[in-house]
Amino acid sequence: MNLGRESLVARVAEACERTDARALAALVHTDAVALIDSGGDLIAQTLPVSGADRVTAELLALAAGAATTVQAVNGVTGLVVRRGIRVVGIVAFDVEGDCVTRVWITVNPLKLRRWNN
Amino acid sequence: MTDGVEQFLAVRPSLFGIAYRMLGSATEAEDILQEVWLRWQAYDRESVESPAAFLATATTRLSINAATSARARHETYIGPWLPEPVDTSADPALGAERGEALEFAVLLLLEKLSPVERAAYVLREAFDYPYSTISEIVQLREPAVRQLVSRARKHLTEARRAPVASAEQKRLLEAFLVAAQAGDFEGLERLFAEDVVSYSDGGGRALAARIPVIGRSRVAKFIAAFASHFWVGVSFRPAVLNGQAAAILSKDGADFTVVSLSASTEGVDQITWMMNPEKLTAISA
Repeated sequence: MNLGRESLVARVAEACERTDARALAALVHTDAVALIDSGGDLIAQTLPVSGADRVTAELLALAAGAATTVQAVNGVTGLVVRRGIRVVGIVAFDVEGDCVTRVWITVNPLKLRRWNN
Repeated sequence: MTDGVEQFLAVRPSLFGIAYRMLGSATEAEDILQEVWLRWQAYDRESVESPAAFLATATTRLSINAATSARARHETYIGPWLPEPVDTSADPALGAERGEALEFAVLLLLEKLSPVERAAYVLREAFDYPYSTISEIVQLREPAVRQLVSRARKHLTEARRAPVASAEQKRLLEAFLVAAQAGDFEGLERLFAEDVVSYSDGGGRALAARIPVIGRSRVAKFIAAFASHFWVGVSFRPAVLNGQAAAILSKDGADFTVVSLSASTEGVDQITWMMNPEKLTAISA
């Protein structure tokens, strides 16, 4: 099965919206890696996380209580996470076949300024 | 003399595209454009034959300088440094001929190249500049530029290959299982690296070769020879063992062997048959 990036990211968004960890984990590769750029705001989360469960947890933590929209990020389908009207996170993906292999999460407010203008 | 606004605005999106790809930062790209604009204002514009080329050159050179100092900053950044994401819904290629070198994966790999290499790659791949023009912009001879671009391409393809290794291993394993079951000698050979090794761990009990089998055609022959009896009534399911693609083989409802393989760009380089019943209990548990 090859979902293609767009429908895969759409499914990730749906799973985030429903806070459905199981559905989300099924879309994430076992060896997936997530990198989070917080600009040093969240000292705890400075290392890459790996594994479907941990990557899923990061995505759910970001999406909790927020609205997730599928949108073009750097030329390819990604996610924009908003609390109210404010963009609080941008997620870019690398995909392989029918799952997500790498996730880049930007929550650094300085890097989100252009998304909040 | 015109004020040069029109000429600047005409190429602004592509200037931004160059600077952004070079720096992975929209904010810094805007600063570069600001600087280019000031220089353009102060310059004797009448003497410039091609404003577009002049502006692209200034942008690239300023970006090379900025990239050099940015590299030091990224090294002291707390936590992972990622590019500043850009909303490309309005301009998917971000001012470029092609949308190349925009994805996070590529931008992060570009970070590993020297700023000049990066510039040559970006101008060539995303903006389709002729080598002669790039050569003038980065002030290197044309053959050197060609070499930079081809080296950059090679770096990027190699680095991109690494993270998909596990997916590729999975694919190789599937092809391997098909060929092994069919006893397809040539099919097996095609999957193997020249120096492939097959190890068996039979724990002294199950039927297994005690010595490793080495070399493409020997391993292919060895495995093809299994086909007639080994695979009869065998079903398998995929697994991952220590990060390696693996399959658990079972017969009459009982797991009896785990086969795992590793691969390089040359093909499958190691196959391990674990037939030791004691080690298998840990896996199926």
